[in-house]
Amino acid sequence: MIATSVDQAVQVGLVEDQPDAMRRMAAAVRSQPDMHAQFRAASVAEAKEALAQFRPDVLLVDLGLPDGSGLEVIALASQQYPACEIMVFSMFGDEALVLASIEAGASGYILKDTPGVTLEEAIRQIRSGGSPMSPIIARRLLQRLRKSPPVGEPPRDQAPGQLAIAVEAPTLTERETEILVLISRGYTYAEVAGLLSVSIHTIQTHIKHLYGKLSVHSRAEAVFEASKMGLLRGVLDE
Amino acid sequence: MPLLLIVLVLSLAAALDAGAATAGSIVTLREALVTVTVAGQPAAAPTRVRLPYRWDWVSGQRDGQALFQLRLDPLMDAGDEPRAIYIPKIGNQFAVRINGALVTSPLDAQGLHVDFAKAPRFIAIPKALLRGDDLLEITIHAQALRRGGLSIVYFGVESDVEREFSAAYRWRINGSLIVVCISSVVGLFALLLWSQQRDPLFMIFGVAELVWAFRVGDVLIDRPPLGWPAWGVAMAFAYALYVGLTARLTMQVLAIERRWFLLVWRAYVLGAVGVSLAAFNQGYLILWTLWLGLMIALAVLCAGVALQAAWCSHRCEQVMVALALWVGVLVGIRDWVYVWLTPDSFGDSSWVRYVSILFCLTMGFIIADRYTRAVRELRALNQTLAERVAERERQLAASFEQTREVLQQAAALAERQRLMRDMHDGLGSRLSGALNVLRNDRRSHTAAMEYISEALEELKLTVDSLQDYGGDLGTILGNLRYRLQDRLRVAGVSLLWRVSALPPFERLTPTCVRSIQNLMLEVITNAIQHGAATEITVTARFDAEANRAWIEIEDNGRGFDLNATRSGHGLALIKQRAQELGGAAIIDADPGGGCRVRAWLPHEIPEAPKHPSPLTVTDSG
Repeated sequence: MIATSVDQAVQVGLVEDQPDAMRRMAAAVRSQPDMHAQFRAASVAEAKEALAQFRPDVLLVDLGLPDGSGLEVIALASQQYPACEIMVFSMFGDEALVLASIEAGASGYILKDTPGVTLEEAIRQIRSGGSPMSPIIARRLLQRLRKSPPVGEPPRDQAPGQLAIAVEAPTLTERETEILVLISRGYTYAEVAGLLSVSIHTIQTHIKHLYGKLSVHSRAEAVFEASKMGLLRGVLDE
Repeated sequence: MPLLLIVLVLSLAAALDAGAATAGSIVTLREALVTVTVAGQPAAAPTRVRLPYRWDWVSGQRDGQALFQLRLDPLMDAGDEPRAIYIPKIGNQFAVRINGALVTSPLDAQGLHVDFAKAPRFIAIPKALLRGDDLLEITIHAQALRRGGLSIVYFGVESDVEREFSAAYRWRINGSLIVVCISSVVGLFALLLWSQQRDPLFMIFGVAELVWAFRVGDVLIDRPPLGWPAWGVAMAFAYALYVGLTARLTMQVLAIERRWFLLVWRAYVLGAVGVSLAAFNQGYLILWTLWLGLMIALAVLCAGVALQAAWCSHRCEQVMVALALWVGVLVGIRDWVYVWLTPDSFGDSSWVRYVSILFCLTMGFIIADRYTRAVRELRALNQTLAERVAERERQLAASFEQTREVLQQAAALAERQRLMRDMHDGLGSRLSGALNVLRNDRRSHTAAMEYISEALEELKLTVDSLQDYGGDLGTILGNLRYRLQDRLRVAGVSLLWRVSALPPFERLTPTCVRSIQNLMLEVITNAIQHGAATEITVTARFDAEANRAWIEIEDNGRGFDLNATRSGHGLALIKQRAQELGGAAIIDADPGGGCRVRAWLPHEIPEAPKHPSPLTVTDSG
């Protein structure tokens, strides 16, 4: 683990086990005067250690780590630093893992090998709210969030609100559904903005919001499953 | 109604029985001069009496002997035929003399142990002894309460007398023998059943039948194994026990289990022992007479209960038991009144012994009925069991099928993930690496870079084809566009995207997805490389009427001559892709007027579309 510290720059944490990829990432970050590679970690254990020590603004995480999954790192970082932008390095076709990462708290993903788009550009794009979304991911989001919330009405003998607040799962608004349907059919953000007569910036905001919803949704589902198993009874009764 | 019938039959039988001895050339002797000597007293003076003569009623329940003197009719009509006498009941021991000559064994030789009073007697009279006016002398030895005495005497032609005697013998002795045999066999069978099944019903019945065989068997033996009055006590108790067991049996068949009944029954058995002893050992015969009345009352009670139960349940076995009991009661009353209480009936046999046959039949029916029901239940149970086994088998098969499916799905998923991972980590990362190397040295490797980019793109599409689209054609097309967007941008082509809502397709397998991708790529590559198009329009819509989806790709390129052989191979490939999906492709092109490809695929894609040919992105002859 190598760590340096420079004030006033965007602090970037890198978690990647392949030395080549790590070198490229570090070089890309170094080439930007307003970015600073705060630490490099090559395993889950190293990443945890670093997260206990540093407070990165941006965390770039590769999922395949020698001692575990990058998802662990994402979950830990999103818990400790909600303001931290967590980005996942993804290969093409890895939509299931991308979704899992977003559910764990990542706010966007970077395809490792997008031709013509450099890493630094990708970082900037995500920082400015422009997380990409492939049609497959849009479709999965529709499937996940369209489902009726896990818990409907709270049981009558229970104080209203308690359970409902605890496990309220977000669902899609009409506009969000429209956006996701169009993206899943292959329309670009700009085309969607045109079709819906809104600005592309609005679409980007929606997308970011949708990623957040998925994360909340998955947490709500977890709470629902837990409450079904009776694990949270004590917590909910308090 | 059945009761009325039974009474009718009984009265008819009684009439027949009474008139039996009056047919043919037979003289009935009803009067005799009797000289009685009661033990320990001097002989009384001869007196004229009317037969039958019951010793017990006359002697004050003491042992003794009596000499009867009867005059024999000369029987003029009968001519020379041999003569004989027939005595329905005589005993307990006896000797017969004609005109002073002994025609039976002497009394002294018989001893007091034997009892001849149980069977009818036939005595042929040697012709030489008869003179025309003959004296018949009958001496009897009788023991107190042993039912000794002399019945009416029949005298006549031997053949006629023998016929009468035979009829009486059949009825009393042979009939009893049959009863003994049946009761013994049925009783043993019932005990065998009990030993196997432990149903108290069979034990009670078996014991009752054996007791009855014992009781009725007494008629068949002249020399009982015990002396008198011990044997008399045993017989009386056996009779009482049989009635008691029959009552117990009835309760068992009716499934009535009351504590008081058991107590009463025990008291009855003890009482029977006491009364048998008191009546036959101590000489209180009135007790036995009353006890017979009590037994009849008990039988009436049981019969009443049985009738009520049968009335309520309508169960066949209970109806039959009630019926048998009522017959038994009526016969018992008849015997009690006619045989035991009526003076003239001495020598007539009791009927009650035959009632046991009715009980045997009833029990036989009950056993057969229960067996039949048990077999039927067993069959039903077997049937149910077979059905349940079959049902369980079906469930197991279904569960197995489900498990198999889940395993197959899991295996397919695992395989798919492995494939994807291999492509990422192996080929994908190597290509990426190579691309990066080339990127850093642009001067000499532009062409190589292009090829590697295309290879990478191809790989991406292959991986995309393995994704789970859930039959969403829109997403398949959308994802294809997502993959192609950089390439199109680099080529300076603007894409007009018009994909409307499409219903889910059920059989969009990875193979189908590859066919769709190949078709699209073929057309788009043609448009860019050969048509030099700058604008491509992709439209996808669903034709609900024809139940098919249309994909149209139109470009503003140079176009070509459809008949030129140069473009033939590429066009054939496009058509082949559409055919793989169970659809077709229509290609319109004009030299200088762009190209328009319209392909359709059915909503229900055929189960096994033709295997697609290898993926070809750039090969477009």
